Amino acid sequence: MSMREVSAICGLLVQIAIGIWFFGAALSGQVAGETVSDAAARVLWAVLAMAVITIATTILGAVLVSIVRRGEMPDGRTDERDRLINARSSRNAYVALSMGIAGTLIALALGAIPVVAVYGVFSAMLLGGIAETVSQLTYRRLG
Amino acid sequence: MGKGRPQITNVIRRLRFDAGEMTQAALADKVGVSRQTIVAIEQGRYSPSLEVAFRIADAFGVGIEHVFGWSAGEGQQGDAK
Repeated sequence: MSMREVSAICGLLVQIAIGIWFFGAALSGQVAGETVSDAAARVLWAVLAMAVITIATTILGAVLVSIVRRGEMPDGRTDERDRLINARSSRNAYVALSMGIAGTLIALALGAIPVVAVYGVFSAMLLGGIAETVSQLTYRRLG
Repeated sequence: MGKGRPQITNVIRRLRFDAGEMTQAALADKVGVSRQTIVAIEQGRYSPSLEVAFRIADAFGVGIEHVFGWSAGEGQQGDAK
């Protein structure tokens, strides 16, 4: 397992965990009556938490894998295959993000309350991030 | 990666064996790519660029035609006509 794969797996787990926490709170009614401003602030905190936790878990993951392997992890050299994988993963992320944004616009057009836009944008971001990470892991294993 | 299995074949495993069991990591260092990329190329999961193909051939001191081959599938043969 390379450093990139460890990083991707950690990122994926954090995205899923933050998503469950964020939408779990919303679905359980803890944020009932939330304004657009409140929701946006919560999204910003979630994004910040995601970045910090991803960095921390990636470092921890690298250390744990190194301990289990009893040696340093493979180097992080980037070559043409990595660039191809990144490009294809970004394309998939773009498609997922676009679908999420389009879904949000459709919901608003159908009369959803404005706070839904904030949740929709965050969902689209999560969807894009997860699509990119899953694509990277898949392409690294399959080709 | 991508559409179907690559039609490009290679004998990198045999060449590594002939080169005194050269490791994939050693070949990767010579070629300037990651070991994972060498693994993917060797297993036929990834078709390298022309430049990397030439570098691999150069690492073994042989011509590119001695490392890589191409087997046309039925679809490709039909398209070429």
